[in-house]
Amino acid sequence: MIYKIPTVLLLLLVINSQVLAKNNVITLKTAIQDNSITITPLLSFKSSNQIKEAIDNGTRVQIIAKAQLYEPHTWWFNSEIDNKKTYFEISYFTLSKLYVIKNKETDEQLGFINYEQLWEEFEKLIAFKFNKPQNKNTWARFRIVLDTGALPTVMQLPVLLNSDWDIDTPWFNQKIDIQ
Amino acid sequence: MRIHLKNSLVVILIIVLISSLYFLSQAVQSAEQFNRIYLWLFGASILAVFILGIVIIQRFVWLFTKRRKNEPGIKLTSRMVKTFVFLSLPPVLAVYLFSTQFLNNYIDSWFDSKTSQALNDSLELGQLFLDVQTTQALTQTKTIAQKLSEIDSPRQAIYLERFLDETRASGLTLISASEKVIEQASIDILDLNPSLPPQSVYRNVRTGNNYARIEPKQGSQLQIRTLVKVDNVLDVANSYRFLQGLFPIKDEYSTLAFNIETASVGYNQQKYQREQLKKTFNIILFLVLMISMLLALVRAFSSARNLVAPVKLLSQATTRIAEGDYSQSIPVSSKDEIGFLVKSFNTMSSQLAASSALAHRAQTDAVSKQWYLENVLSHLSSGVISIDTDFRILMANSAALKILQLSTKDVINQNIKHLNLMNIGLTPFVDLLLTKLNDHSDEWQQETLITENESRKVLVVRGSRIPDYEQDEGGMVVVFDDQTIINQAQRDAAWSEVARRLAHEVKNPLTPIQLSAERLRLRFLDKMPEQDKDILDRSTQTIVSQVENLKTLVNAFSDYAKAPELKREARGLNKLIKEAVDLYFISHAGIDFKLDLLEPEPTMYIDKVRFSQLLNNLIKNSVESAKDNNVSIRIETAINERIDNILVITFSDNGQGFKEKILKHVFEPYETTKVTGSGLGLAIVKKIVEEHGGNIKAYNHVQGAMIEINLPIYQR
Repeated sequence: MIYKIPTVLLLLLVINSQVLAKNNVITLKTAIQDNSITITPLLSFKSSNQIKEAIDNGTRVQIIAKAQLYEPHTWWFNSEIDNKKTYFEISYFTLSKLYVIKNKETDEQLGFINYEQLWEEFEKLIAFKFNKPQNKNTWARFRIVLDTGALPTVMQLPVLLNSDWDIDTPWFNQKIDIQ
Repeated sequence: MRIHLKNSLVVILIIVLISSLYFLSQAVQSAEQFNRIYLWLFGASILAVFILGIVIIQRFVWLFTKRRKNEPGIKLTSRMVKTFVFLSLPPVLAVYLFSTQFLNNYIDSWFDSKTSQALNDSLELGQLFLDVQTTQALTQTKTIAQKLSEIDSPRQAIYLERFLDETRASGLTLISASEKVIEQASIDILDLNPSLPPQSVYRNVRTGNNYARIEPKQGSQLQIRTLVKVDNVLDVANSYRFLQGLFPIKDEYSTLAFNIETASVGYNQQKYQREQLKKTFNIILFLVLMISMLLALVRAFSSARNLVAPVKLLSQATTRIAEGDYSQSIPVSSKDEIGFLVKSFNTMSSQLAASSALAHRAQTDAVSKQWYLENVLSHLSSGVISIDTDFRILMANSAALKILQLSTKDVINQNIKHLNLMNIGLTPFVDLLLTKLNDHSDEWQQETLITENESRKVLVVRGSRIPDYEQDEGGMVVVFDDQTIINQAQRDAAWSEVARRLAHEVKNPLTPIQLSAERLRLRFLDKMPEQDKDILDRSTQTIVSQVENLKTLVNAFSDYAKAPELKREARGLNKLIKEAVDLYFISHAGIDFKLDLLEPEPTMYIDKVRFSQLLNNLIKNSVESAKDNNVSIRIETAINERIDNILVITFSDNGQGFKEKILKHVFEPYETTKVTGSGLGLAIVKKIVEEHGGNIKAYNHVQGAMIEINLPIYQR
């Protein structure tokens, strides 16, 4: 009995953190084309004023979009089929007062006049293209996390302890309908 | 082994900790290679501090536990830990406080208003310059858009290349209302996929606004992006399109503007991170403080324990030495003063061990001698007691207890006056001792008489004062002997000598006297006148009869004085007793003999003739002591109840018994209650019994006398 209490508390904490997360993945759109499958997320994503202030003051904020295809197993670890990451760097271009988001893989960048507009169009910049899996029991999961390690060193610890910087989404799992 | 492992762990921990701190400082200085692992390093440092903290807590718990147990050396350890802590903490704290203050001030000094203003001005200047460029680019884009609007939609794409040549744009893109690229004209023929603006820009332009912005390009290059709406005036459906223009900025302007941008951003970033920088440095300094404190504590414990370890060993060894274990040797672990102390202790303990061995041997010898002395004293027939000046009896040997008829607890450690309480008969003896003790006589000897169970004992008491140096407070040693038996023997010997001389001197003239008296009677009786004849006759008769009596007396003395030339043989007693009884039964018909003899009879080793004499004497004594002819004599034999190899022979009669006043001396010669007796009968009996190794006692029972003889049974 004495071991059950911490376990239950831990579960409650995990569930609570999932429920109370500020940002969430609403759904994953999948588009199958020939031998490839493209996954794009639909996000409910907001940033805080603290992050905006940091960006306005020249801090480059890096965000990682992680996607994974896997085959789930009951009572055992999932078998990973493939996984991809995309790094996005958000910065403020002072000379023209633009919020610039840059895909660090492709070096493509977009400039936004408005900070909110950036986040509104953020999800449209994310697309993961995988080889079409053979297993019909394939699931995809996706999340967005703040790359704390890419922040300036002096900010890393305060960010870790500041809930305004908690923009991570929980993992969103969705089964892929492979015809 | 365990201690080495522990020390190794602590050393590893310290190395990890210091490395983490070094890397942390590198990371804070924005070293790229450490930036990614900053949090891990920080976590490792915190973990190391936490572990170090646990180690310290464990040491404190150890210290507390040992203090409660009051283990040797622990107080010194506590004191040394306190000293180390108080010595090391103030400088560390001072360094910490000054460092934080200095750092905070130093960081603030980075951001002065002039630098800030200069950077802002530079930025504004750049912006003004670029705004001019942007306005020009937008004007050109709008001009082209105007021209395009006057061309019907399908041919607009054809004119795009021509318009590109008329402007300084690097690329023009015609975009449909649905934000799809219709046509692109670019200076770079390899640029097939032009970058497009975000949707929000389209929304903005749809509302009638134009878009023109400087954008960063690759590296330090900049470009101007413009987006305007192209209304198809020739189109009946009032359709529209977008025209995007990308205008390059000359490299020299672009680099300068980019540098201003970079410098401004860097400055603003540092300004923004100023507080975080301070906090981070404070945290790292705090970590350094904690580590310094904890390391100081670890070192304090370690040093204290190292210093106290030999002291603790010394303390434990001293305790063991105090308990009598001198085989203590402490390993010498250092060559300093402590090592010298340990060496000296080892030398001292070995010397103590040697001295102890000698002392032990001396003690053993003393005990052995004491035991020997006690053994000698216990085998002495003389009583020995020692008395201190407080009249307390310190020692008494077994002979003393036997003579005084007292037990050990009645005597040892008791005042000599206590002897009076235990036995009133000892009063003369006690008084003698008290007198001599009070007199402080050095040496003395005196006879005294004590009474014991109505019997008297003559003690010859000799005393000698013990000098003070032999006994703490001096005292006296007293030796005494029971002279009663010796006196008795001397008396017996004297009587024997008297009897022998008497027999010798008296017996010889008796026969001539008797013969002369008979001759006178024969010669003159018939010749004497009748009145004289009677006188002569009675006189000569008297002489003869008295001579006979004298002869009988002399013979008795002669028997008593006879030397004990025994002819002993192994035989029973029953037959001898029956023969003696038969002899008297015939000659004295009125005697009632009652025999209760042991059957089967034990074998005795006796002289038959002497023993017959003993039996005759006893029976004769009983017969003569009877008041009338009604004589009853009882003879019994039995094994002694206490000693198996002793036969008890009891004679009892119904006569007058022994007079109380002579009962104690009844076996001495010439002690008799009879008118005609010589007084030697019982003396001879006692002598025969003693010649046979036995003893004899006389009692009075309810009616008459009783004699008890104890004789040893013959052992083959």
